[in-house]
Amino acid sequence: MRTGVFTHKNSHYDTIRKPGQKEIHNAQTLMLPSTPAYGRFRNYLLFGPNCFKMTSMKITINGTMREFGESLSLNEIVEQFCKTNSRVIAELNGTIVKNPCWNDIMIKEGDKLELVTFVGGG
Amino acid sequence: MSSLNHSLSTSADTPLVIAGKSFKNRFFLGTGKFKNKSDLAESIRLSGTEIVTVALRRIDLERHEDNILEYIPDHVTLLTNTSGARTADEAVRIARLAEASGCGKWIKIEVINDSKYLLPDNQETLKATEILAAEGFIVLPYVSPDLYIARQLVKAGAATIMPLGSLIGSNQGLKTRELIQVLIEEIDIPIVVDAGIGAPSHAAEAMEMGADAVLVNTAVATAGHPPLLAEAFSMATHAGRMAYLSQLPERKNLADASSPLTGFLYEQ
Repeated sequence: MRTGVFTHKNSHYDTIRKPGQKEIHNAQTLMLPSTPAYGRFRNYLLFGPNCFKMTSMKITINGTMREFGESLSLNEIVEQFCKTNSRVIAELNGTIVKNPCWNDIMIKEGDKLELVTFVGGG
Repeated sequence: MSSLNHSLSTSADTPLVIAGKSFKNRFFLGTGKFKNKSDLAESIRLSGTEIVTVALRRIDLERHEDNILEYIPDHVTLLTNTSGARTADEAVRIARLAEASGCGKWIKIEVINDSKYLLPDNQETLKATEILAAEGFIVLPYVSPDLYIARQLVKAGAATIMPLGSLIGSNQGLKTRELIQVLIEEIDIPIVVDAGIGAPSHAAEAMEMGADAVLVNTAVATAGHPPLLAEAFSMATHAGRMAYLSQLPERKNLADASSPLTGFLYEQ
């Protein structure tokens, strides 16, 4: 789903791909709304009402397994764990996801997420 | 007198230029190990440093902590180190994460896989430099001082060479003095002496030798009064630079009288 189910004719793909990594398209450049609610709506269109029956979802954040009762967007996860999202960098399953895309990305079972930021260092 | 000194030293010197960006202050400050962030902010302010290093780490999901960047003024260039990287690939990954934050492309490559001496792995550092410089990063590799690796780093597109003075955090000063001198003589890009500088006199020594800048962290951060020492380091770095520009006279093994050897009172 993340890799371009919704495409737009003549759309300009703003890829944030690094060499050797999977492409993730910035939905904002595809002129799609970019909210968690829209992500759920999209899930509903794709997977039907069963997508809301998920009882729990296990994902690994910064090396620790965590369980969530509902489907969440990347942005919701960041907001839940980080005081501010302005200095947070997210890497999902080895691919860097830039902030503007966080609302479009729905976290799924088994995902591995790294949330990093700047600290003091020499 | 001080304004004369100031005008003399500033007119005699040219700014340090790294990747097209000019810096007047040649003292770089590391931001690790500070007991409190207000000391860090004050150290940055009093030293007038224009480049500070930061590291990248996993967010502590259990504790909400202030972000270090809130204590670093906007005019200061952020140099993200790749500490924690044991291989070139890990350093590249950290550099790309740092870039994704939008905080610039300045990267201090630091690849270490020896936990006892914390010496940099020059070969892996070279590999990471090749990859990142090709991607447009401004790469400042931290290395053991070695002429051949320095030449290869220049060829790979490094913006500076950062040779270590002595072991990280040891405060031992310039144990590698002769090797750093070789780099200063032979390498055309800026030489920034990093690691082991434990006192302002060490910083002044490096600058008198002709180093282009120094980077200090542990000594300042672990001092009883960090901002005071940060300012002292900045002054010593500047003093060392002025001394270098003055073309210091040679060191001699025998005495050479300062006063005239003629016209003594007892002369007949």
